[in-house]
Amino acid sequence: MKSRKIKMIAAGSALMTSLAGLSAMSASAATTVPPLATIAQITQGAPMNMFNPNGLKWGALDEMPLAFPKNTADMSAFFPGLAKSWKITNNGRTVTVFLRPGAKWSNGQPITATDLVTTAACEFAAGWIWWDLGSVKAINQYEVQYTMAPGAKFNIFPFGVLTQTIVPTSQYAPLLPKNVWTLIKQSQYAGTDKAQLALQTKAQADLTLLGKKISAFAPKTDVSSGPFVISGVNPGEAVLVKNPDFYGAANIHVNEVVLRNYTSNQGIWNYMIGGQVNQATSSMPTSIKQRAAQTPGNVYYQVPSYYANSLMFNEHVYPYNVLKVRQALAYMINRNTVQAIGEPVSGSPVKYIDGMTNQQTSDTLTPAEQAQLTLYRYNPAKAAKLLESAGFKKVNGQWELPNGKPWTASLYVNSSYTDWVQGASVVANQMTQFGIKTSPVLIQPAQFATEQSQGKFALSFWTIALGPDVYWAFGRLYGGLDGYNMIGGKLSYTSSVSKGNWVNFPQTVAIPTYGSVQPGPLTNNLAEAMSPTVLHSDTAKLALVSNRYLPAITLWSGMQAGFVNTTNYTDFPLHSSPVMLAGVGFYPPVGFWMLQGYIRPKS
Amino acid sequence: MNYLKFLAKKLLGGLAMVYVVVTFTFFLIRLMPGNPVLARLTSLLQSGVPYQAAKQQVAAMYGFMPHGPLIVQYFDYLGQLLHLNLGLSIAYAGVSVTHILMSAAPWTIFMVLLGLFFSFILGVAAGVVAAVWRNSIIGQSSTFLATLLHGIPQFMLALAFLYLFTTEWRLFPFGAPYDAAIHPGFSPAFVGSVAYHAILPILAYAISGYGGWTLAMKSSVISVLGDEYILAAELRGLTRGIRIRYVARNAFLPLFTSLTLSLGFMFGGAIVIETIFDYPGLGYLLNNSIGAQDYPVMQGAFLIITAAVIVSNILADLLYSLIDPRIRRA
Amino acid sequence: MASMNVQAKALPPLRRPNGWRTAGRVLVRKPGRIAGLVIILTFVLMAAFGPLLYPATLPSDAAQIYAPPSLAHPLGTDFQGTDVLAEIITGARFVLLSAFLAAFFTVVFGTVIGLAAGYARGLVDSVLMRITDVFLTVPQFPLLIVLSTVWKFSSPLALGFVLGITSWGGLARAVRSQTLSLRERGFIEAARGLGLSNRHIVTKEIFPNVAPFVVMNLLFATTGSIYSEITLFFLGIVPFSNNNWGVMLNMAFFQSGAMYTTSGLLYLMSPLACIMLVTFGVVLVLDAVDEIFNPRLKGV
Repeated sequence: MKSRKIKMIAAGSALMTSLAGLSAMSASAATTVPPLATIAQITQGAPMNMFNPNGLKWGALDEMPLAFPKNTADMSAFFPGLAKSWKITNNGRTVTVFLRPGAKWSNGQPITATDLVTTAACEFAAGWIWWDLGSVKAINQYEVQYTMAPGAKFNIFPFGVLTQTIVPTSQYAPLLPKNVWTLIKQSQYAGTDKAQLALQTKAQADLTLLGKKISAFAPKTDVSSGPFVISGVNPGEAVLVKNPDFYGAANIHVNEVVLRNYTSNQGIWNYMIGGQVNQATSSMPTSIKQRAAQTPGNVYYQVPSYYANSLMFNEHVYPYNVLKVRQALAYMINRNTVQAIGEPVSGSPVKYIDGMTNQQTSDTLTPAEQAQLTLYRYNPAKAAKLLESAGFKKVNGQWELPNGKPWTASLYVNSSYTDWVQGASVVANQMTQFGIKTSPVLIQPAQFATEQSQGKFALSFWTIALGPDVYWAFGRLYGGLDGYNMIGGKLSYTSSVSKGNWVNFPQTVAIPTYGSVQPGPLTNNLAEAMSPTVLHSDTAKLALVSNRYLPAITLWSGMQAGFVNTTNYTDFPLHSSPVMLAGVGFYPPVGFWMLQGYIRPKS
Repeated sequence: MNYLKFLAKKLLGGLAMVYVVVTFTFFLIRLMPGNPVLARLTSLLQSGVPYQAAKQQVAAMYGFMPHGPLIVQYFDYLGQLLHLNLGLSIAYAGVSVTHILMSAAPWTIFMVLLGLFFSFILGVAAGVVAAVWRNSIIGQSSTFLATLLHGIPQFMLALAFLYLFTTEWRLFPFGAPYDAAIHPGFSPAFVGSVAYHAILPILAYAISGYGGWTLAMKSSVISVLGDEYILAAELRGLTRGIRIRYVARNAFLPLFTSLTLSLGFMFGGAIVIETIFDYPGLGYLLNNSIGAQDYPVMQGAFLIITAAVIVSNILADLLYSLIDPRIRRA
Repeated sequence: MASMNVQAKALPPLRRPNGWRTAGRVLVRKPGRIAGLVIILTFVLMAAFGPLLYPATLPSDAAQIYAPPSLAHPLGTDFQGTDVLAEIITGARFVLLSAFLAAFFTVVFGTVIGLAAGYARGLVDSVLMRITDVFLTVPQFPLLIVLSTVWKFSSPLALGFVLGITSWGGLARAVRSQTLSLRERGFIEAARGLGLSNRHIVTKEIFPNVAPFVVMNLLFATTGSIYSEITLFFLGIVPFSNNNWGVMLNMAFFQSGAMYTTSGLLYLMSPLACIMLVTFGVVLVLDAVDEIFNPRLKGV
């Protein structure tokens, strides 16, 4: 890295002395097709290492997973990646992966079982194993067997195995100590033997140190298993060229990809309107959509995507721990208006406030179960009645708390999400009109995340209903943020804000038909249960809990919306819904599209 | 001898200033609310990572966070600083801050200095015109233009440029310092690409500084015009051209010291201009590091920006003392 | 420093301008000056009474997003159908109040420190001037950004204070050099000879002579502070919970893409136009103030 640094400085100083008359030299090669351009976050000085949170690695471009999830309710449906095929046995506890013989890294070395084992070791050290992996065994050069940890229960274990992105042994093995697998074994110890426990503590500390080294690792070159490999990168863009060693190179019709940096939606809009990228998605107001549609070659598209933006309560804070207050808010917020301003282009107002998106609700609940859900149609009069029945009073158009103090509120949003900002300003407006003086407060991203998790916001915006897995959706409400965590293979609960519980939903609530239920354990069971009937009834219970007790008011769910530019490239997979749907899973999707044989230069 | 003494005094003053800034930011940052580790933990939990794994991952990423009593941390930080080691970034999980800063600093320094250079030269020339021909239409329109440009906030100019030249007419690129397909080096293609990408930001710097220089030069020229020796020159029948040169030279000197004051403004403007053009220099880095609560990077970026101002100040002082020897003696 | 030389040369004459009559005469000499005064008064009235004309939260209307100008909405509407004119009028108070407070703090710090350093000389002088040097060197805007992480200065008073404390350096230096030179004048020597207290000399004899310069700086600092505060809000560095022109700009540019549509352009341009108008008002009035205090400049 050092040599590059010096070169950049030298280049900078060279410019100070000789700038005159050089501006005309930029537009050079005009006959060839320009590179395929898209957007990505490229941070200054970041390493080409996927374990770094800012790493210069992009799925299906210069790195590859074993398989690509199809991003549908069926969590076992995949497009193959580095794995040619796989076999799930032992009731989902063992997954055997078969690699493509002949697949190579961009440095010419073959991709083998060793790489998969190296990857697993790195993942253990860097804390990337979220899917209860117990052990990994290379059966032969192209066959690897993954087994779930004994005692663990996780119904999407195969999903965890197959969505792993593989790193090259040639780069990462030198970071690993010889005894790395011994350390991993020791760290997994689950018994009570004192000597073993001491070893475990030491092994965990060693692994943490190793994980730090792996996250900060900065390889000198990009070694890619994907269709492209980085050829040049500067703080604002990255250029990737076709990797001739890629197993499916014959199927890739694009020679060069350029990734342009963005930091805000505004930057993306500028690229889209300027026609500077061949593909980009962003939340956008109608005005931007209309303007970008006028750019020659731009074609609008949208893909279903599972999320719902919501108003989230912190039930540590009075009066939001009062159920009638939350219900009143659900009645007095006009979700149609909020969506029309927050996400006018690709959003739709949430019909059932039940912790899921409209799509997921209709996919998972029977009509009878849906009929049980309260609709919370916009009804300020009903909201007022609810508040009055809880002892609140409206004086001179302003609501007062039962103790006579005026009720005012701040609604916190992450300032970098334009849709949240606009949506929150409407919600605050509606609350103020209703008589609760509310102001939206915009906070910078990292600070927002910290303060929200410290329970500092009584009312804040939050994205929930993350699909397609129901466990993920309800995990956003009754998981770690509500104090439920898997610790040592057991579900533990804390009500303490300092330990990360900022939702503080009651541990037990009563719902019609099912009686008393516990949302935390129910949610956890969604990850563990294997039986579809159990999964279905748990989902129905949790939907009803979320609907009746409102830990959050879902406002709108959205599609992923964007533009492709067809001036120089054609054959985008816009009409192939399986490909588009799977592409939503990561960003930018063009690499995955090309893997499926799409995108050709225009002749 | 005198000159060396002068130089030494300036350098010492500069070092003292850097020390003050280092100390100030060090303690300020320890006061900061929020906790980047917690923020990262939350975002992992958000993305579905179970608690234990998330804890381990965060521990791996932030194992380098400083511990121990504040004063020990402080001296440790100073010691590391002497080796140009500014610590490890939080957002980048342990990548060295020096490395990150080095990839950003050249772009800012080169653009700010060029912007300053152009605004100074153009502003001074326009100021002479505005003063000497102050009763004619040329002089008055020069003054008017300067007042107008002086009154437009920097970010407005940058916004207008961004909209007009990258979106409406698409004449210039934005978002990168050069075309990444070109290999960095002394090739004409690379230098051309850098220049092409830098034109808009430099123009924004230059124009936002231009008006101030014109107005300052105008008033300086007018006050010199009233001096006796100019009158004497006129009486002696020296040509108008020679007189203007006399005046300009003498009026120019006081402006030179204002350079030191404007440097702070110019480097400060990097935050606005780089954020608007997505130009990845120090200002952009500083702004983003705040959004990400990446305190070590923030500390480093602030330090480098201030150091750049201090060094440029010293250079301007030295240059001035070369031009006007009276300063050294004073 | 030569900037001091210039100021020393332009030291005010040691007599008071003769009251309102002079001021009035100077004002009407150029029509632009009256225009300037009118502009400033309009905005001051807007800041004082504007918020009283509207409800605390302006209504939004999803059916009226980016509506073109009409009788009901003379400047059109914004991304949520709120009247832009109403936002401008209600947003003026925060902007002008905090800018004025910032200018006030700048002038107070700058004058007090300048007077103290220039009058006391010696060690006090050099300590104060070293501190001034630090504040002059450290670029204001990055400093504000760094400070914003520790301190949420979102009330007008806090914002004014933080802007003031970061921008008094130049004024302190200039006041000091004027004080140094006044100190050597005969009437101060005489006052000291009469045994008048230092406090009397500084406040009654020296201060009135630097006051005109201070007044001009108050106006200058107001426009400078408007720029700084608007930029802070524009970049979204200060968390905002109230409506003001800087917030409008942030929402227009970063959040709602107003720049890219003809109908949204008014939303973006209105606060910008107001900032420019206030600045020009101040520049025009400064011209008059300059002449009142320095009649020598009349011919220039």
